[in-house]
Amino acid sequence: MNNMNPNVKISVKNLNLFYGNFQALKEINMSIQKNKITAFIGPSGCGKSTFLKTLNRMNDLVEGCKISGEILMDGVDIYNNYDILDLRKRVGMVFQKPNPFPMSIYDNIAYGPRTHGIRKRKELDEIVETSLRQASVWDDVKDRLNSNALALSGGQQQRICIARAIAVKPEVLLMDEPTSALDPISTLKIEDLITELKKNYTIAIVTHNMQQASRVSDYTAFFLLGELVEFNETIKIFTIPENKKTEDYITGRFG
Amino acid sequence: MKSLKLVSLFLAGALTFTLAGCNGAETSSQDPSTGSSQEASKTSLLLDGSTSVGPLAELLAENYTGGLEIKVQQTGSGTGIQSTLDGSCDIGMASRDLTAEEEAEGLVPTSIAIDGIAIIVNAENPVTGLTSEQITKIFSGEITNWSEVGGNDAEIIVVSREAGSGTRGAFEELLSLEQDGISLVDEAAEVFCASNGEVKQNIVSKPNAIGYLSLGLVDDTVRALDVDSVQATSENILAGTYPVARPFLFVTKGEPAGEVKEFIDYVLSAEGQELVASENYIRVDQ
Amino acid sequence: MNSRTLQRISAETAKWIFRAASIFSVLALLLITVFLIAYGAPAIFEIGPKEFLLGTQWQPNAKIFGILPMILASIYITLGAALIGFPLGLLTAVFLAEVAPPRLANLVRPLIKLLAGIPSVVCGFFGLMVLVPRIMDIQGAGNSMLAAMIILGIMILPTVVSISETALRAVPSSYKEASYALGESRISTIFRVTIPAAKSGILTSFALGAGRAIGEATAVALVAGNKVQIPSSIFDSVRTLTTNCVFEMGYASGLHQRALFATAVILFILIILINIALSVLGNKEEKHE
Repeated sequence: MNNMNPNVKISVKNLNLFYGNFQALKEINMSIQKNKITAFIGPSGCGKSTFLKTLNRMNDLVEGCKISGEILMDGVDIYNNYDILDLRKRVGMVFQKPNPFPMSIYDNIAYGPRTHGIRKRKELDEIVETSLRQASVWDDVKDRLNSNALALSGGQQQRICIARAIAVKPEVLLMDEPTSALDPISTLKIEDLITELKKNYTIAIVTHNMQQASRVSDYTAFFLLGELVEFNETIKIFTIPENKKTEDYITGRFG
Repeated sequence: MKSLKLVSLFLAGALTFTLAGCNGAETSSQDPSTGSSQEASKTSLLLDGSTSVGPLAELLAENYTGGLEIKVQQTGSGTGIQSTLDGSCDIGMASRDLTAEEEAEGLVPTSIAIDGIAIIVNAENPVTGLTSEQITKIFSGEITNWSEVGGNDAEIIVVSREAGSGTRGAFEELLSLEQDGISLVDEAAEVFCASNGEVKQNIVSKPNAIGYLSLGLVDDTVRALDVDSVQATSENILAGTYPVARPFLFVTKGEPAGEVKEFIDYVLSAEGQELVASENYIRVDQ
Repeated sequence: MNSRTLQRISAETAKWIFRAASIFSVLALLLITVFLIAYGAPAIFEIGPKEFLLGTQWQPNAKIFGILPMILASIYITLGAALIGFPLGLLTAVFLAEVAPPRLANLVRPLIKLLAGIPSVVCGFFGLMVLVPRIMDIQGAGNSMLAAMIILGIMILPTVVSISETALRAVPSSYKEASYALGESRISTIFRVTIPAAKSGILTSFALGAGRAIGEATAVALVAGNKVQIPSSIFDSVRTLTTNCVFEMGYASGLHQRALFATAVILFILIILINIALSVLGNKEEKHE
């Protein structure tokens, strides 16, 4: 717990990750700022999604995955005797392809709270409404909370997923290419939503779309072949990158 | 395309004819050997019926040297008689006498052996004999506890054959267990078996069970009770002192003729009857 | 004839062969059904529906044909087999699909399929020699409804397990990932997400299992006791609709035979009812969501 900067939510130190013998992440060091949006960019296979998943330990589900180094959230190592289920309550995730459960919209949103012990109908009703409002989808679905979530459009489903993630009141939201499966209009709506959400949440977003990164994020991290090449305020990354490789990527020379 | 439709029509027609053909073949083979209409000579005979007669028939078939292939099916006396009637077998095997109706349909019985029916209990049961009256009362549910007949204080578990069994038919007739076409054993018995093997298995595994079985099938895994103080042996059956006995019949539609008569003659010959005696059945040629 | 025409001809022929095959399949089903009903249904009216369906005595020689005890036996035994086979089967499927390490699963799965290959008569004899004496030690003769329920429960396991496992495996892993990401444990995810998502396949496995149980004759005939009586306890000896047909069809004639066909018609109706019930159950849940 040394020189803990109150603005740093997550601190990553010397992180290495191996899938069996293959090293997917090499010596990552990064500080993710609280209540800011940090984007992870880079070409396919560079490790940005893998890195994102270390932050809520979803990589633990993969056989043969090993890490070394530290990831501290609020100064506490999340890989050292830390309750995974509590971690995932504090760090939520939204996936690339919208994946609402094949249940009613209400049951989708209430799933997380029910997992963590909330049973009373009134409490759940409140949480469902609040979460759907925060995700800007309440008006769309308020009259059909009992209908199947799979009947909604792609953009609406993704907002349901976002509402579902924030229903457990996490501190951090991880978003893995949340709009890559959506049409441009839904994409913009969700980008607006993400910008709104940073007031209450620390957000890390993996994106293939550089314009999205520059539109939405405060900080950007550029990954290449498992290494963190450059990390800085978004404005600087996109106007005055320090590393040649970064410049090559954002000007479209590769990737 | 006209040619395609013709091809497919032909295919469909061919298939239909094949099906109809199969049906036709069935009916022609269903024609019973009423003697004159049977032109072609047979190379095999099918025997069907009683599970009591079956094993004996198998033995006779094995030792038969007459050039015919003899096949034996054991589906119960009732089924065998039915099959003989409709022609699906050549000889029906029955372990009871034919009823008047069955004889009226043209069925002719030939007695090939006499079999005793043993009343069997578990080898551990202390009871060694019963009177016919006691047996009737047990199998009609009047007596329900072994202690009433000198045994342990335990409920009697009555094991019976299924309704179509020849052994059962003979048993019930010999012990007056039928009333107005209704078997009294239906109420009294707890377990109903479809074969002699099953009956034996049930007796062997239940200390308080009682059942009936063809005498020729009794082995030392079960005990055959004395009936009216007479031991269940072939000598006593021949002598007429053991009351529970019935004929083994080969049933044919009409008098036996042709290949069927050949086989039956063999069975009734000295050689055939030797085999009968070797299986502890009673020969009919003495 | 050039190759183009040849191709078209073979495509057309293939189509007609497929059509013919389907027609025959449906025809076979229709023929059996129609024959069954045509031969058996009139007997119900000849005997009198009330006497037939509610009669408690079966005495063909006296022209008494009441099948109520057998209807009840079939229903009770199927229920019992379901109570044993469904949960056991589903949990085994869950084990194979979600919990077991792949090598263990690959060992267990073929063993269960092997169970399906065991002939009914062998299962029945196993029941008679091993199960029935144990039940006799508790109460009754041993040959009982309970024995039939247990043996049938075991016999329907392969059906329930294999179809349920397929259904569980078909559940997209994205649902499970979403559940884990919300902080739910693996086991709870199975019960809250995976099983409900696989419900349609699981109910199908139940329907097929129940159909197998109610239609089984050989194994049941060896262990159920086969007495025609309305059971008052699971230790009672009973006779199912199937066993009755099997016992007597070989030699029955006339009204007796047609009464047996009528019994088969009732069995047919029961199977249809089971399938409808399970299908309705499946659809009802879906509408709720």
